[in-house]
Amino acid sequence: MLNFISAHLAINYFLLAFVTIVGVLQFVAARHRLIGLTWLGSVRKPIWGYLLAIALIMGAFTWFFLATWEEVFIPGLAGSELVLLFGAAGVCALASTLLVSSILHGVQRREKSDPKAGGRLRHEAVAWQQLKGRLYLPEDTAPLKGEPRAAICILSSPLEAPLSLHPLVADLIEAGFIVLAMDWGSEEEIRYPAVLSLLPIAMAYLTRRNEVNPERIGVLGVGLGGDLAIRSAATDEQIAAVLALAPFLKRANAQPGLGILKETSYLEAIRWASFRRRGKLVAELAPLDYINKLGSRPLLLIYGDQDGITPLAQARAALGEETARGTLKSLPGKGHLSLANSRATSTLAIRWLRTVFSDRPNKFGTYSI
Amino acid sequence: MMSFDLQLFRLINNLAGRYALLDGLARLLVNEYFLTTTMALILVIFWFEGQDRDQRERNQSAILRAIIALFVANIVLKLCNLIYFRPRPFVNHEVNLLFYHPTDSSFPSNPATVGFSVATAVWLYNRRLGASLLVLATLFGLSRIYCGVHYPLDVIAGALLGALSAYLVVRKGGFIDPLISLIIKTGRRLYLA
Repeated sequence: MLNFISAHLAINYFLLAFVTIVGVLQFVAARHRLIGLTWLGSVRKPIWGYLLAIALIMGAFTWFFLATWEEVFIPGLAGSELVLLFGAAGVCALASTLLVSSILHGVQRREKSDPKAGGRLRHEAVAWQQLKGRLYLPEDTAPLKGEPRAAICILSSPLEAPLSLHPLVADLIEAGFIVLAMDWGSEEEIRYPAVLSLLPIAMAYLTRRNEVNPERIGVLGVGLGGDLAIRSAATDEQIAAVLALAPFLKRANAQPGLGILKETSYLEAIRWASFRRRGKLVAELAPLDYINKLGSRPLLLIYGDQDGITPLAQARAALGEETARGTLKSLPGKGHLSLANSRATSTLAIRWLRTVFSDRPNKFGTYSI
Repeated sequence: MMSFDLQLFRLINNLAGRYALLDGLARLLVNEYFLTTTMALILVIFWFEGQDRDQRERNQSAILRAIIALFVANIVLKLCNLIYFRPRPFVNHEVNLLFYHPTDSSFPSNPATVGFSVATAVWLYNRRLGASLLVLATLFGLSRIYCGVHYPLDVIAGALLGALSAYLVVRKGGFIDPLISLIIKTGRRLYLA
């Protein structure tokens, strides 16, 4: 069945298949804005991706027929040999595409990241009972109009470096909020129902701080943090407002498949998936069952319209009536993993927090930051 | 029937050698590398198509069924070849031959079987893309007649065999659903589906 009577033709066909499949994957990357597949480092200008794809595909076919024109008109490769060569070339092309794309993505991320960013904000390490994290304070923590500061408890995605939320933290502090960035703890500690104690402990900690107005504590969760924020707020009346950035809502949304390559490189996707209990935790937290139990306390869910992990349409479908009530807002051009680092998110979050806190009377009277 | 087949063959094959451009195009289409690779590349693109996960899953299911249909059609074709051998047109007739001398049975056409099994399976899921693939499969078959290596009846039989295999695999192949689901699920775990 497999004779490969012409080694030259077999090698050339393998190379043809390899290069054309790489070309097709570049076309796919440009068409579906898949960061994890592109060799251009960016998918913002898909035209370059299309041009690269056309060049690779046309170039490979032209080269193949120029190099083997005589050979393709004598008995050559059998059908089974073609299938085998195409399959092997496909595997190699896919592996090369994912690897090169991951390397380029990593280099770009390193160029963009600012290693000193984490040190600029005034903060103190928090280790109180099971609570671990950082408390970020504005330069001036004196009461405003006789009222202590509002505080926001931030819960990022598990195993995600808290520094990745720094732009959001910085913006909240600049707006006058006190921010507690919580740590989920080690991977082994992130289990249901143990995680349900995280936010109540954080609330207890914040209410003991003199700078904090205990009636103005909101929770901001990112990803799974958002799901936990909804669940915890449903049973903790002290949480005055809940802001969830791209919560998963349903277990299926925590298993994104190809969609994650819209957000990050393949190697990063594998790292993201290394936290295997994410889907199970979403199912256990059942945030959709608890949204109605928040009562009159305000809730805002923000999604990026380019979210490849929890697509906006799926979030809308899952939320149903809540969408109509304005609980869900979408931000154009933002993805799941980039949402928390966006200035647009900070602006929307701060505006909303100011509105809901000023709408909610307390013993200090009308609130303004 | 055979005489009509031969008349139709002559009608198409007699065009060969008259127009250099048409001959060049036919030689590009007739070989085993160009159209098969093109169709396979279209399937790779189709694998990633779809606005959401459900739509993508449907497309991926179409591709996997197309591959299974291709294998089924090839097995039936090999069985046909064991039972019935039809010599190539150039063996018994004077033809304008633009290709090498294949030695296997002319009936049914292997390229037509391959092309139509894949194209029909995709067509049953996605009319637009399926129609494009059917055009390519038809060109593949026609080029074989034009270049003198198949009778029209060979191509028609191959097309029917391919289409029937695809229909059976797609519409009546419910028992392969678990296999399809397993492959797609595995692909999703690897972030490739």
